Amino acid sequence: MLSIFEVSKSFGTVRAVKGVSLDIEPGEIYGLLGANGAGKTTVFRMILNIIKPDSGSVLYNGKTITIDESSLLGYLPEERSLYQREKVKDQIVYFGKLKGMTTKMAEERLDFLLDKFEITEYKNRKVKELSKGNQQKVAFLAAILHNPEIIILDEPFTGLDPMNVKTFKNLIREMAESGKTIIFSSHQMDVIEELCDRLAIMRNGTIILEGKLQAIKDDYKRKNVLICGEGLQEEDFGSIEGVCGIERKKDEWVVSIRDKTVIPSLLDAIRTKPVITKFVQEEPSLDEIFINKMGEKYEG
Amino acid sequence: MKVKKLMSVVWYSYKKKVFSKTFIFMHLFYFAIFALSIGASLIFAFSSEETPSEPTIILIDQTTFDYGVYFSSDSYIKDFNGTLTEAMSEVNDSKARGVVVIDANDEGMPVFTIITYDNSNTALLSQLEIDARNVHGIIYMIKNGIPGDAFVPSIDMQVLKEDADSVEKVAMITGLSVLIIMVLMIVSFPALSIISNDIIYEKSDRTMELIVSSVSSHSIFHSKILVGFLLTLTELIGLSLMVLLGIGVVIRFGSSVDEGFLQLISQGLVYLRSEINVGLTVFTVVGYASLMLTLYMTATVVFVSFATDIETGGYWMLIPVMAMVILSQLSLAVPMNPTSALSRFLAYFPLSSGFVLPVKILFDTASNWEIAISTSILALSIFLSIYYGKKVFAKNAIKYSDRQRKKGRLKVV
Repeated sequence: MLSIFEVSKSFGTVRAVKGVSLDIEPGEIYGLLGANGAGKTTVFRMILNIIKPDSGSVLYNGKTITIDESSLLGYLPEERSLYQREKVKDQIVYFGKLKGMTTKMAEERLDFLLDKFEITEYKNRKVKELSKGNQQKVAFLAAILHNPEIIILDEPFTGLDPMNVKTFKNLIREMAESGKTIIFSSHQMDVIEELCDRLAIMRNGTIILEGKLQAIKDDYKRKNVLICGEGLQEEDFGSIEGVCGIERKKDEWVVSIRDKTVIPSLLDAIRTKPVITKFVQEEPSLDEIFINKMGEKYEG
Repeated sequence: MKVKKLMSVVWYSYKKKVFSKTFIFMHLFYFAIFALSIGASLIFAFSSEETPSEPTIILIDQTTFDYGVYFSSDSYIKDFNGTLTEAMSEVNDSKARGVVVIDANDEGMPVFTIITYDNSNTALLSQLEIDARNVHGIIYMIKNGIPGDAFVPSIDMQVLKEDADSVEKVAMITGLSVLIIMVLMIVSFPALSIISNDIIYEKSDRTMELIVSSVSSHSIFHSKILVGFLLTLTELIGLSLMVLLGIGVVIRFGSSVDEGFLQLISQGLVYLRSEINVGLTVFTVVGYASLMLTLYMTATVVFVSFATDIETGGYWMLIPVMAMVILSQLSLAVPMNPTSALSRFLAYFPLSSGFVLPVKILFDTASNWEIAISTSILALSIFLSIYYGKKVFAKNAIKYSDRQRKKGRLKVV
């Protein structure tokens, strides 16, 4: 199990991470969300031993991961960290060797993964000659070449087309099923909802929300009620206490309410209407929860 | 494991640079750089002549014609009314560097005897000779009151110090010293530039982030210095091969000069071996050059780690590279006058002592104390630069923002 305990990190006067704690089980896909500058990458870098926390600890199975055990970790940085002017094969084998692989092992594994990613023809091409999507595939390949136990993916879906997103999602699921610990950050909430078992939302270096996705949704008091019918007007809901927002989407009204206690008042408001075809309480989307939690400071 | 990873980083960085088209193409410019450097060195050599506050040459004009007025520089000439013995005594007391005695032969023609303390101040001796020949021109016009035949004045050289080097040896050592400095600069300059680019691109491509997650930043720091040394060695081998190639071409196609050329080279080598201790020279040059290069490499890796992108990387790279260019050019003035104040300063300054100390040792103008102090300063500088340098590098290797102030960058120091 990967345990991050009360880690903090400051850069000069800026406190990038403040007392973050997380426990992630093997086989789990964990999403770390947050606006730009929330501290996600700093947490990743502390797990990876790239920077040392000012306080707190990062343990894997109860032990600190040293730089000599870096083969336990696979990392896909936010930027495509590849030598643009070097050939795919040369640099991937090099990265593999830095993780303790022999040249032969790295070459064999590279061939296997290139085939799996369907980019075998790019093996001897320079990275700068590849499309963004294929560069991302190569960077992903570099992260998992040595078959690491913990895989950290910082914005892995950036710049990918839907087909590649699907390929990546399948791979991530596959790796999790084989017992790998996967942590990733993304601004694509739909992907997070689809993939993650658990997630945490960071703001200004601290975790403001953490847990299983469904539990987070259940705990999130604000709900949406979808109402469809004849003769409905905005004024019908606007005056009800506890209504936070009203939006009309085609024939449907989306009424955002403070909590479940507002529902009876909504029902009272529509009782006199001639026809009501839909009255459904909807789960809030992760996107909505995220934006709400981030407040107006969200830049993403 | 650490060593294995370190060697992987070294080999990958080295391989991708040395087998690149840029690296190979760049070497075609060697000779242009060489020519430019020699031009610059000549300018420095002439402009850096020491201007002493006390006269360095005592002039004893024993003729009635007063030839002494034709010696150009009052700043280093002192008229002397005493005897030659008294003049020599003053020279021995280190109040002066030499004596020029102007006498007349049987025909009334002037005879110049330049008596030097030693031959190492080649710039001063050259000037004296030029002055003596200027006098010759005037004598030609007024000989016996009418224009006479062409007259070559007799210029005799004497050395006060019994064990002083001969003029030929000084000339040879001067040439050798200039060559050593030029070669050191030529082989080191590309290495500094290449390791700078390596780091700048690793930062701009963000590959540094991936490497740092597998290898400690201290190991990366050391690997860059090692790569720098390997590249310098490659440069040296490349340059030597090109020189051999050049000689080969001359031998092959210059059939009429074959024998003379080979004879010249062979005589030169024999002379070199008889006049200087080749083993000691090579050891001194390689030793000091390696130490000094370590300092330059360290400075380069540290400065370039401040880069946030390719543009700023170029600026940071200029600091150590320009320091090397300027100091190597200044060092070219040392063979002209190894005992000048500038030479002494450059021998102590750690970024130039690698160029200057071997030259001073060759000229036998470096005292044991000077060697010991200079070496200690160099060694201490290396120790401190590596000790703090790797911390600064570790702090800045994955910094991509310019928000950091200089103070913050060096806070670790």
